[in-house]
Amino acid sequence: MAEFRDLFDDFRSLGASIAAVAVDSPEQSDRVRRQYELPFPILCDTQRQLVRAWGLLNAKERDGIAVPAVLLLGRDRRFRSIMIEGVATRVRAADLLTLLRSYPISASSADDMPSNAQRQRVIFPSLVDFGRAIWNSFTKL
Amino acid sequence: MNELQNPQVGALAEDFALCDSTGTPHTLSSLLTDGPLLLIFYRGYW
Repeated sequence: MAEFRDLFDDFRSLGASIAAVAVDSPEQSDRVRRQYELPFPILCDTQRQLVRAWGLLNAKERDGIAVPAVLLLGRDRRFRSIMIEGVATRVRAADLLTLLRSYPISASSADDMPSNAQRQRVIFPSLVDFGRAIWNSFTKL
Repeated sequence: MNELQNPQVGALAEDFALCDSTGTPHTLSSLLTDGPLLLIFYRGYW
């Protein structure tokens, strides 16, 4: 994550936002944020809903933690790149920079905006509804 | 709930709502307002 912090300005100049995700408590994560002086937020997936929905739950450690991974999503909410770390493979921030530099950031608004049929409004749903919505979405794919 | 598979490139991500470590709520849609989004999943700390 330090790499992403160090290259943060480069990512911003390419129009990309960054957020980290962990299952740690907000208190723990905020300690990390301050300790490493991260310029981006740490999202707290304490219920493990998001890591479960995206197949990134490592259930073997503690009560389940996130599998280290870096995902790039386009403004149309589609997955553009999915890099999952293995035992001997780390995702390098520089590689994401290279990817973004070759990625058409200024795609036409038609490409970027989801169609009306796909547009869904989510206002802080209950976690159960959220999980169910994600489950339904993936079983329909 | 069963654990699902990794999403595929090109698939549409369902919107989600999570608070960050300062308590500020975010949705995937809000994080994507200005451009593409890099999500860094990490193991976490004790």
